[in-house]
Amino acid sequence: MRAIRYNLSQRKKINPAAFALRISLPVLLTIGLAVLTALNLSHLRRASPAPAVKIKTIERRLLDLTNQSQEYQNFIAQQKKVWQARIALANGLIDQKTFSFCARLNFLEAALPEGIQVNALTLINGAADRIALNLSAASFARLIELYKKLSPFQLIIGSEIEKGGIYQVNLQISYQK
Amino acid sequence: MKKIRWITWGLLACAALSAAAFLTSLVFTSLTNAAEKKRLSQLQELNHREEEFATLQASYQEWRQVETVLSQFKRERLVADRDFSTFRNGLNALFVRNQLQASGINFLPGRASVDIKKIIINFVLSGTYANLKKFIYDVENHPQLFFLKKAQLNQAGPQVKGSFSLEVYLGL
Repeated sequence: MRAIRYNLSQRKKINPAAFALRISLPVLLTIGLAVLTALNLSHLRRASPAPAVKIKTIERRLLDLTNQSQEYQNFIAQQKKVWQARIALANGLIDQKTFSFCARLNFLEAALPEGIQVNALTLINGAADRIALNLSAASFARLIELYKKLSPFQLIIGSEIEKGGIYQVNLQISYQK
Repeated sequence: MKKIRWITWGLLACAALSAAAFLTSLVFTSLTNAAEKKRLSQLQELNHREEEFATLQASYQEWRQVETVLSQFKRERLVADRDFSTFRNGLNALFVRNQLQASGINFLPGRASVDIKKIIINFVLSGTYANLKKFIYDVENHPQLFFLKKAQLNQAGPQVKGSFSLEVYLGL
């Protein structure tokens, strides 16, 4: 048998769960969105790693740099026109002054084995840096020994004549390996 | 009942306001980030340009001094045109000091630039190999700018004969 219930109240009966949901949802939503907004804005408050220079200041400095660079470049171009040839000449002279004949003679003294005699040698101060030699060798073995020593120096053997056991040789080497 | 409805509407309005604030903050942050990005890239460009400018400035300073440096080079390293006879005597003294006999001396004058004269001096020296080498060493280590262009050494009995070509540059 079913019990008959009557609501004698003039107001509608409130469902507590529905009421709680109806109230708490907007409250939670408000709180959640406020927190998100605060978090979002807090990113802005963090200091930027770059120095605090304004865009306008940067743009002004860039413009200054462009103008100043242009001025310097014009000056340099003008100076180059006037002085470039003289600078090239001075540098060329310094290069030639630093070319050492003594260093090449020392090298030959160290490289030539016993039993080899230099009859003539030519050294030229220049980019090619070749040394021409006319030699006499007492034996073929000595000559081969010399060739071995000079082979890393772009050795060119011009002539090699044997007369009575003495070898007459014309050769060229480059001091630069 | 009405009261509850009003409360509910009020709370919903708060939530809507929060949502609007959140959306506004999103737009604001993205705009601010874009501006910051632009600022950073400009700052980066500025740094790059500053570096380039520093190099250019160094070059500019060098070019500003080029005239002084060149005139100093000319004054200190080149033989002055008016001092050529002194230089010639010095060269003779060098031959004597190294016990070398000179012969076949000739001069070929020319011009290297507007303000620099070039003279090629050809000569033959006779002496021992050690003395010739000493002479070469003296020429190479002389502070003034003259140098050997060519050296041809030939054995002539106990002595060595050296044909030399020396270039000397005179500042006008």
